[in-house]
Amino acid sequence: MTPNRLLFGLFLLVLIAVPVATAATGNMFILSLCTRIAIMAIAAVGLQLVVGYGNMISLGHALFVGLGAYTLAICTHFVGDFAALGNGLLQLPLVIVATAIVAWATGYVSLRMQGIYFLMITLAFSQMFHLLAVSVPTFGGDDGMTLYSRPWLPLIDLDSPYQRYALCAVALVLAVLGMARLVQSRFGLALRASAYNEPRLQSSGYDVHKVRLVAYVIAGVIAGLAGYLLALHTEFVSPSTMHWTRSGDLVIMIVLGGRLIPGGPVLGASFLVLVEEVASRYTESWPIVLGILLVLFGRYATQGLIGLGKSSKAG
Amino acid sequence: MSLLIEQCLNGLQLGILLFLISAGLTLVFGIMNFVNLAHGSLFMLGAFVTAWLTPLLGNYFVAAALAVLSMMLLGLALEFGLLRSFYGRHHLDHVLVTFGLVLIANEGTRRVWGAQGLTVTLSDTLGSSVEIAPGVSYSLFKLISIGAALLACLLLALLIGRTRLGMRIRAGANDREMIEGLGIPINLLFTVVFGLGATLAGLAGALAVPVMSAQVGMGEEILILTFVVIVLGGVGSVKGSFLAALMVGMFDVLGRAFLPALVGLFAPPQVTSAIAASLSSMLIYIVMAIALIMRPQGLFSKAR
Repeated sequence: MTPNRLLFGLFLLVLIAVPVATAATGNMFILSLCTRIAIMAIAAVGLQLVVGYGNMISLGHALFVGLGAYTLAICTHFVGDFAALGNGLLQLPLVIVATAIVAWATGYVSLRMQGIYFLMITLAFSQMFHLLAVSVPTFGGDDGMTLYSRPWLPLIDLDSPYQRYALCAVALVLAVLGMARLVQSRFGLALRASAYNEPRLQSSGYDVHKVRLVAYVIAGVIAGLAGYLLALHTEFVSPSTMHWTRSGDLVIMIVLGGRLIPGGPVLGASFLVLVEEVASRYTESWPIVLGILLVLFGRYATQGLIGLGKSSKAG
Repeated sequence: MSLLIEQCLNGLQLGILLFLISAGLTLVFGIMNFVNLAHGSLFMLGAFVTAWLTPLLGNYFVAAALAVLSMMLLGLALEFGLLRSFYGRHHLDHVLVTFGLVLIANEGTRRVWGAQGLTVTLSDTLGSSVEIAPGVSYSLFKLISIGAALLACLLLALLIGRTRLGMRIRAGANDREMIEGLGIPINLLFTVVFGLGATLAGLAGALAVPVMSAQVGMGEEILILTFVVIVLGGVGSVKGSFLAALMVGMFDVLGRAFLPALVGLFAPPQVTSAIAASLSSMLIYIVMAIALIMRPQGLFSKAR
């Protein structure tokens, strides 16, 4: 437990240091970048339940990020007609209900298949919603939608970048702590057991399909909330939020951070977003840089980023 | 009527391309248990190399043959140099490395050939139409490409079903340890299978490019459709994926062609275009979802 506590303390320190560093340097870009990292990390922490602990590779999770983002965008679109739609206390339940319903429906079908076939179906469903978003001109079509106002939330001014960061950082800490608890709970044990020995879990009286479906819905809702935060941060949504490469990014974050390491996706998300940010300053073709890094990681760092740290210390 | 026949042939053409791609993907997965997201990239590169070489060489067929050959070599090199070390590892590692390869392939293609993509202009004879039935004419090239793809399917069936190599491939899919124990060089077999899959994907790309033009990202679009084919066809069933590929091709093409008119019967025109556009692009996924609810084991495979 000690190294975990140490890492968690370090993680909290970094979260606190970011706004301090921003205020000291006056460089707002750091704050905005870290807000984005925190948001992606929330989605990845949720997906770790499915991909890591449940050992089901979903390659369509950006669907839920996009769904959360579009829910906010559509609410904002109609805010002129119904002022209540600008209220975050109404929007958040809407996001949760919408993502839960879609996650339940797609999960119910996808979970009838396992392994690579599960990957294929989740990818196909996310492509379906991506195409839907592209083909509906009312909500921006291929070009996406700009949000002209941010939602109202009690006690917090979302137009302030500092308060927005605080909201996302707190949400991330809650997601990490909540996930650590959930994994240790009875449900978490059942889910992890289903990844090791499905028939045995089945014969101990658990409905494996239901356990997996619950995990899928939880991960979907968390991703939807992350999408909500993403849209209110960037004030923009587009179908590319649901593109399958975004789903790939989320899975990569989990692999890089360590599939079964609590909070690992936070490390993976930081790494991925930072590489993208730094590489895109030097070359337009930054995806090549990222691609080469991923191939090298896959080839040489079999234990993820943390394993890399360990082996370099040991060797 | 002539429109219907033409669209059915278009559906057949798309379907048979999808089968070529899905056959390679299933072979690689079935035998090496390897998840290859970069399979679509081989399709894309096959298309781009064909489109790039055709004007240089002045002959589409030579360009296509060279493209297929280069995809085979690329596949062999990838397997031998990199992917071989990933067999037996967690599927997530496969996703990691092949996702990286997709990024490299897409961005590299954009750098080399530009973001607008490439098109192939066929010679006058190839681009012309022939009368296939009284009053029905169809593009000569599309007929040739359907014929070539069918021939490739036949050769594949003969290779897998009638040769010693094919027998070993089938044995490898059934029981890897046993065939290793029998002294068959399994590593060589893996390389051959991967090269075969890459060849089929490259061939599909070369046959597709005069019709759909080479675009960055086309590989993943077709890969996702291929996934739908594999899921619909039923796990591990070649005959199933052949039928499913034809079905997906037909649904996709016919849906795009006739859904707008169909929706127009029930809805006012201003709504029609939006609904029809989204419905026809989503149609195939909706079919997949319904099929999975009714027959989770796949449409064309026997019940478990």
